[in-house]
Amino acid sequence: MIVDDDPFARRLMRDCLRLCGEEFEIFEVDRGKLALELLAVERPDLVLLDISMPEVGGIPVCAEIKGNPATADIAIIVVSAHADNEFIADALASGASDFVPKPFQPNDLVRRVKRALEARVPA
Amino acid sequence: MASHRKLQGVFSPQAVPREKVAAGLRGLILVTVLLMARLQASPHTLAFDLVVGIGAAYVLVSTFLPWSHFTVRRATLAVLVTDIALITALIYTQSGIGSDYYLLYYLPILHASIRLNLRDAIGTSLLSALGYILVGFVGLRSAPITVEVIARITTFTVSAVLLAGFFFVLSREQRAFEQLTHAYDGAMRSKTEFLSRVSHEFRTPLTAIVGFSQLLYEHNETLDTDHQHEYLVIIREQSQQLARMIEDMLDITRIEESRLTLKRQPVNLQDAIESALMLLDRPADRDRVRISVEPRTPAANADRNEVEQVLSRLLLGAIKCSDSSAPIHLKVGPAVEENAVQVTILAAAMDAEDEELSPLADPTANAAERVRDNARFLGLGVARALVELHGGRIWLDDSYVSRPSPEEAEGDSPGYRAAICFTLPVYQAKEGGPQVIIASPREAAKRGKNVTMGSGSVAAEEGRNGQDHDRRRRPVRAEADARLP
Repeated sequence: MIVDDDPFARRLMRDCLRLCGEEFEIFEVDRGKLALELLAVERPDLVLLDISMPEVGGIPVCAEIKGNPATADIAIIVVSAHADNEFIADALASGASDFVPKPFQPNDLVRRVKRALEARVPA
Repeated sequence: MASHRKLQGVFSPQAVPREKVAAGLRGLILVTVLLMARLQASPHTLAFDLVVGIGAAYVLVSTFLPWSHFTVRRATLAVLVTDIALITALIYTQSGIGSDYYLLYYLPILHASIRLNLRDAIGTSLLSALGYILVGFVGLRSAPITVEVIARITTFTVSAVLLAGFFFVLSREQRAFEQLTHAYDGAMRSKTEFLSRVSHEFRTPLTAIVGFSQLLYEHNETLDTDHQHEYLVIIREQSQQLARMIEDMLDITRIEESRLTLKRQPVNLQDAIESALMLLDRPADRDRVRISVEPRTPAANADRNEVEQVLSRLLLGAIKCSDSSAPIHLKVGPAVEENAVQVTILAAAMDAEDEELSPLADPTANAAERVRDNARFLGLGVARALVELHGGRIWLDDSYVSRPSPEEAEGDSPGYRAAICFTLPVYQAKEGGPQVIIASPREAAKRGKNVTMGSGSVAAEEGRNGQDHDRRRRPVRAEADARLP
C-alpha cells in the first residue's frame, strides 16, 4: 500500500514497483486516515508511508499499525522528504523497518522493498 | 530561572549552587574583617564585642545553613541587607565616624555586582549611601564636627550614589543587549526553520524529477511512447515548479531585506494581465482566463513587472485550487476605497478554506511570517508581499458563497465560492500634465505600452466614457476604435 499526499510521488512509487519485474498488487491512498480505514478491509504485506500529510501524519499512522495486533506484522517503509536524524529516529521508533529519504533512486526503493518483504517472511 | 531555584545546603549530596559558594567566600572575608577589628580595637567595649560576636555567628549561620525555604534572590537580598546593618553597627561601635571601616560597605556592593546582578548592585549601593548618612548622623551627635569628618561622609555617600547610577546605566545597557541578543536568536532560529522547510519543499518536485528521469533512462526500451511522453511532461512541469519555488524564495528574500525598489508608472491592468498570462506554462490554462474591465477604470500607480508577477502567481494559485476546465474570470474595476483599483479573480470550485490559499486568508498576518508558516505556498506569499509593498490590499472574499455573479449563473459555470481580490493605488496625473485616454479595450491591450507613457492614462471601455473624459480634461492625444457604439 502506498500512502502519500503527493500524486507524483505515489505514481513514481507505483511505477517503480511495476517496472522492477515483480508482480505487486498496489493500493494507493492520499491520507493517513484513509490508510487506517483501508487496513480494516485490506491486508497489505508492506506499506510505503509518507510523513507529512494533512490531518493524520505518517508517524501516528505507523504507530497505530504497529500498535494494533491485527496489523502489527505489516512491514512499513517510511519514504519522506524530512531526512533529518530526528525524523528518521521517530520513524524507526514508531515501528518502521526502514527509512527512504526523498528524492530516492527507483532501484534503491525496489531493493529496500524486497529486503523488507524478505525479512518479514522467514525462510 | 536561577531566582526560582531553591538553595541547597552545602552538605547536601546534590551539587552546590554557585550562590552558596559565593556566600561562603563572603562569609570568610567578613569573619576575617570582624576578627581583625576585634584584635585592633582599642576600647574593648561590651557593645563592640557583642556586635562582633553576633556578626560572626550570623555569617557562619547564613553561609552554612541549608536554606531550603529561600529562593536564591530572597536569600541574597536578606544577606545583603543584614551585611549593611552589621557593617553600620561595626563602624559605629568601633570608632564612630572617623573609622576606615566605611570601606566595608563596598563588600555587599561587590558581592551583588560580581554576580552581574545589577539590580541588587543598585540596591546595595543605595543602601550603603543610607548607611553612611546614618552613621554620619549618629556619629556627629557624639563627636566634634570637623571639615575632615564632613568631607569623609560626603565623599562616601556621593560615591555610593554615583556607583548606584553607574550600575543603573550598566543595567540598561545590559537589558538592551539582552533584547538584541534575544531578537537575533529569534531571527536566526526562524531563518533556520524557514530554510529547513523550504529545503523539504524543494525535495517534493525533485523527487519526481529524479525518479521519473531515472525510470525513463533505465526502462527506455520497455516503456511505450505514451508513458515516455507522460514522464517527460511530469519532469517538465516539476522542473518548472522547482524553478518557480527558487524564484519565489529569492523574491521573498529581496522583499524582506528591502532590496526591492518599485519603479512606479501608470499601469494599464488589462495590459498587465495579458502579459502575465504569457508567464503561465500551459497554453490550456491561458485559454481558461476571461478578462473584463469596467468602464472608467483608472490606471494603477505600480511597478509593471511586479504587478505581472503578482497576477501570474495569483492565477497559478487560482488554477491550482479550481476545476481544471472551468473558466477563470479576472475582473478589473475601481475599488470600494478611494483612489484604488481592484482586481478580482474568480474560479469555479475555489474555496476560501483551501489550505493552498492560506497565505491570503489572514489580512492581519505579516506576509513574510505567513510564508514561513507555509513554505509550500511561497508564490502566494510573494504576491501578497508585493501588493502590500505597493500600498495595496489583498484578501480572500468568501461572500461569493451565496452570490454567483449573474452572467456566470446563466452560463455553464457552477458558480463561485470565493474570490481572490487585491487593490493597487490609482495613478494620479499631475495637474495640467498630458493625459491619454484609451477608448477601446482591445486597443488598450495592444497599445498599452505606448499610450501609458504619459503622466496619466485612463482606460475607457466605451466611446461615451472616452468623450466624458475628453470634456473634463484636454488630452494631448485621443484614440478611438471606429467600431465603438
